[in-house]
Amino acid sequence: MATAREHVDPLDAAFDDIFLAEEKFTNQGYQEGFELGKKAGIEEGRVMGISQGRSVGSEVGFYHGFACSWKVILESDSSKGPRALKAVDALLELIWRIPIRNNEYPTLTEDMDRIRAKFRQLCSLLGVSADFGNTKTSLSF
Amino acid sequence: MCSRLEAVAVLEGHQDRAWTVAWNPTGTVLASSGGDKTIRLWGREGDSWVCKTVLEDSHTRTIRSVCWSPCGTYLASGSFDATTCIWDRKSGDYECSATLEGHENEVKCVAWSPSGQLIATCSRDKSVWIWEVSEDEDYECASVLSLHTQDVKHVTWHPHKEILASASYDDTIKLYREADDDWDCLATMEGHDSTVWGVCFDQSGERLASCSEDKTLKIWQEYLPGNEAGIQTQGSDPTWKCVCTLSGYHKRTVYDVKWCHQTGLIATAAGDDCIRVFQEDESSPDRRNQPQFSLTATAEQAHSQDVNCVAWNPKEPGLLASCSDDGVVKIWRYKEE
Repeated sequence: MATAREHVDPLDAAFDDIFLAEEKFTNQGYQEGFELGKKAGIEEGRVMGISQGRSVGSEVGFYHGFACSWKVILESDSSKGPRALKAVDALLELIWRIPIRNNEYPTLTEDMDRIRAKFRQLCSLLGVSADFGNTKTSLSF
Repeated sequence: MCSRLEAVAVLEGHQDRAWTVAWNPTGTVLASSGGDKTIRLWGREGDSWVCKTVLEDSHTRTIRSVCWSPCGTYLASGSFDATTCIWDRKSGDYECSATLEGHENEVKCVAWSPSGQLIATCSRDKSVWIWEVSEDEDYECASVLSLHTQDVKHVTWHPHKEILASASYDDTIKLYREADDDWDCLATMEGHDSTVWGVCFDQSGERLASCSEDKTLKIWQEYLPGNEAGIQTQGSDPTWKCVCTLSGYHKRTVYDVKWCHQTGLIATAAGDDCIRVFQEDESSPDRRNQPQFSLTATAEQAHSQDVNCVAWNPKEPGLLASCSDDGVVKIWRYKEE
């Protein structure tokens, strides 16, 4: 079966090319722009992801170092009481639950809040100030 | 309305807003605190009430909340300076014997558990802290709960069990209990349309009253698993359900609610300068699932500004204390007529 296009008069086709030129170039331009925008967006998202990820990572890393150091101290010195050691273990448990690699992690905010709360409790039990200048009270996106 | 609130005493002395009033367990001393960074202790002298002591110089900002220990020997005060002080009467005079630090900013409320072993504090930093009182009077943080998404306004303990209730600017009420060395949320009550300012259990602990910026008072009932009403529960935890909403009485925010454990009367403090008393209708057909309450007394213009707090005397039925932004503390007697 012949397609409609084959029956089009060559003259009509030539006129069509002229009359529909604007639409054609608009579509072409949109497509090119879309591709470029997509590329730029991915790049921007990647940079933001690195920056946010670094921020979360550095905060969790700080708690991890803090907890590991105190664990060693508390295991050889019982003057701070048993509750402090329990709190250290609970904090480490929470930290280890944070995945290092993933695409989606819906409970990150809640889990970070739990870690921060446990960290504050530990600081109170140890009698040290929780203000290290690098801890935050909430994630800001 | 068949009863009234009669003013018994007008206690002046605070130089700024008076934020809270709290009776000691024997009902003989009334503590009040305010924006002037002081705690005043009021007692009876003959027929009148006088200021016996002023506690000062321990907080650097407004003292938002005071609470007595169940033994009456200690007084806890929570302040906008982010700390909670424990006052001790053992040497005769009250002395600040411990300071609980940890909140990032304004402490909004402090509550001593009925056993005397635990203290709860809450703050604008959105967290609730639970402190354990050790035998040598050391105060150790047992838990930090950051489960509310906004400012926590009020905390109160269950009358018999170690269950804590908190009310927040996030419009919810949460209940907590201890679970494996830590504390966790047991129930979240949603229903108010705005900030929940106060919560109070009844004498049985099976009911809770809450008051809010939405100008209503709500009554919540505990339903245990397998309850007769067929209310669904999860696991071994109870479900708390709103069984009554009292609206149309308060013209402004309701700042405080107190359920009298002796008489069952409910008193409210509101931003429309009034104190109101509600009584449960005992003839209602289904008191458990559909209780009805009616307004029995209103003290119109009880204060010249917002009423911030009310407190029923624990020993003398019908004796009520109140305090306000006008800096005045008042004592009222509820008279049935």
